[in-house]
Amino acid sequence: MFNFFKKQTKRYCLKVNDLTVKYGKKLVLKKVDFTVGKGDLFGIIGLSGSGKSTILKSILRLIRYKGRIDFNEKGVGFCPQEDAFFYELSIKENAILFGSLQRIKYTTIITRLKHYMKELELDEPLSKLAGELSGGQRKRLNIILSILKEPGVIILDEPFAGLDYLNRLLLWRFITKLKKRGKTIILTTHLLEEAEDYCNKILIIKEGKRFALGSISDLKRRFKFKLYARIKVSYISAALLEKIKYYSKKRNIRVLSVFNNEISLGFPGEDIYENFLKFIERSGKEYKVIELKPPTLNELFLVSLA
Amino acid sequence: MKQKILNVLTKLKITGLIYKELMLLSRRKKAPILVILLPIILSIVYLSTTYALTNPEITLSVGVCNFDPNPEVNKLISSLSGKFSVQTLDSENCLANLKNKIKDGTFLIGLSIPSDFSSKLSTARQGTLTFYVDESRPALAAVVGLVLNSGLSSYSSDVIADAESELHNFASEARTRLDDVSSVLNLTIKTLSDNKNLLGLMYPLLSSYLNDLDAKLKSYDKDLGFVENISVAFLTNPIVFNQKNIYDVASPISFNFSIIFTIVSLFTLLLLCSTGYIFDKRTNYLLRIRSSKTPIVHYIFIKMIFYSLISGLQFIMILALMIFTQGATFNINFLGLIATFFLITAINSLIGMLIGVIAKTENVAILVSLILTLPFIFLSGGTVPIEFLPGFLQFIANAFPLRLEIQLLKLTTVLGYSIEQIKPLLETGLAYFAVLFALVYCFIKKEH
Repeated sequence: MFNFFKKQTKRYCLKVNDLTVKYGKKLVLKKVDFTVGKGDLFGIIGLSGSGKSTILKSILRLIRYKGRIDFNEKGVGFCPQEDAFFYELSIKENAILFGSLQRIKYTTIITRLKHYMKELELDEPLSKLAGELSGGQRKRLNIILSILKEPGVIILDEPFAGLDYLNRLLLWRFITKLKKRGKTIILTTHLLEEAEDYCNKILIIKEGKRFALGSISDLKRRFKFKLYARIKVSYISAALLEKIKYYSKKRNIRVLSVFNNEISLGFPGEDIYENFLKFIERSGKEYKVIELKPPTLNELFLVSLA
Repeated sequence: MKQKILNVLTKLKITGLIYKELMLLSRRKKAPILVILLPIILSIVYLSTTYALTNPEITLSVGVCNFDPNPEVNKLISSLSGKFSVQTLDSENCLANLKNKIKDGTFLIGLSIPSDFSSKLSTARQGTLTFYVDESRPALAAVVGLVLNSGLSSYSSDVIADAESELHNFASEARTRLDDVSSVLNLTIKTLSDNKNLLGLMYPLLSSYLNDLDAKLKSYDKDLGFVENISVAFLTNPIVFNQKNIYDVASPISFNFSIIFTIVSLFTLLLLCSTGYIFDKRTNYLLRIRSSKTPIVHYIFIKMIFYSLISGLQFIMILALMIFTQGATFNINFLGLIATFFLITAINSLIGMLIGVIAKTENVAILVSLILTLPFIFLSGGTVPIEFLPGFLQFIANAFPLRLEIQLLKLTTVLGYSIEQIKPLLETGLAYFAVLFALVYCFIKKEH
């Protein structure tokens, strides 16, 4: 009986099925599926133009789409990539304006504004014009204005674009705090290493399609990618490259990039890696292993490009 | 208390929408200047053009080539001097010089007086004056004949009065002589009658002949009496048009108010609404609005109401300007005016937003606003009568809402028409509003 009720409780925050978006005749998203759990820090990565922002806009129902988007959370805060406030108005005036659009009491607006400014170390007077803030401060204000209502889900479109390392660190810490408070965060980013460190679930989009979905370990397992190696070979001729590709295909080795006689590869196990080195030796070429490590999100992302 | 009020206000979405418009308008110095200065400048310019066409006190420079040696012609030149700055040129190469001086701008008008001008007038024949004008300035060329005619009107009146007086004198003198002849005839008839016995059979013949002659003289006298009473003005201009207004309005200049305000409102709202919408799009404000689940209808309505209030300011300014500088009087029907005012400003705001939706940048929006405003003004009937335009332009003019706006405002502010009386016009205006609103809504919805 108890288990029956437990099963009925929706544990997800957002479920997307068969999401398809067309801009004119161009198909931008093709039947994308994913689920975001409550309290997830969900990262969407992909090349520019792959459809990341389109996914966010569809979730917010800002554009027309086909498919099903099922929200299991009240209140969504959206922070666009560009500054979405008025430079001519002060920090406080912007907060009142956007707070009022979300029907928040004046006193609540001011309290929350001060609270978030403190958390995000935006140490400026409320009367300061938004246009007088630095780039990093504007980015932080942009986020504050999006979460004044304290929504359950916070959607951030490239929140780290153009920020220096310190500003990024500050923002990641803040986002982690929000996650700890039970908020679900969905963000798009190009910073793969940082996304790996902070996001518990990653969606890789390639040419409008879902390429991969899951945690980093899920992705490694799914890609059969345990070891990453960068090998410098004395000379890679076209014939040798063909041989390497053929050899790799047979043994689930992923050829990630070839540049300037340097080859990056993803191996499903250590024994396959050692056999590969022997194969290079047999081809009569000298080689040097430049890098050998477990793959990071950077290398997993290269798989999507390969 | 203040905080409680603010708490209530910020709980309303429209507060945020209005707050943004208000704060941004107050921060941008250019917009309030446009709002305040435009009605003043346009009113002054419009009223000044009306003044320039009707006021006889303007001094225009006239160059004269006088080929008439008769000193009588000086009367003509001196009558012009009162209203124009007249300069008589030397007779050598006079016409060539005159044309050159018109070309270089020394004279606005050139006048040539032929050698037989005075002699023709003195012998009661029509005199011809030739005037020269720069045809490369069509506006001037179109009115200069009227201006010159008006300037010569007193001289023409003098010539007519002189001719009339001379004609009357001739007729009077002829009648006096005829009376003398008639007296002599009557005396002769009487003498013949007294001596009819002496004349015998000759008397009846003579008497009959003289009586016939007397009757003819009386008939000539009657005809001369008609000539004596004839008006030369009648001969030169038998029909005079006497213009009367159909509305019993104290100051007809008040009608100009509806033209000035609708043009100012159209220009201001087209510029502010089109650029305002593009600004909202550029600053991602519309994205915030959509993501905060604020309906687009709210956004459109708040924009319309806010810009209507700005137009309200302009309305009051133009009204005050016309009352205090032109002495204009108004007979306002307040309910009719409120309905008309909001309809006009809503239509103009929606046209502005439509431009904003179509134009991609603020510069393009400004350009489109200007390109649209000018034909709107020309085809409104405020400057050129629509009935004088070619058929296809009349059709376009009737499709433009500005004409309807001017008509509605004229009826409610000067003639005091009630809502009931302007109902058919209001309905047409509402149809414009509905179509424009639907277009703006669909375009914004499609874009966001």
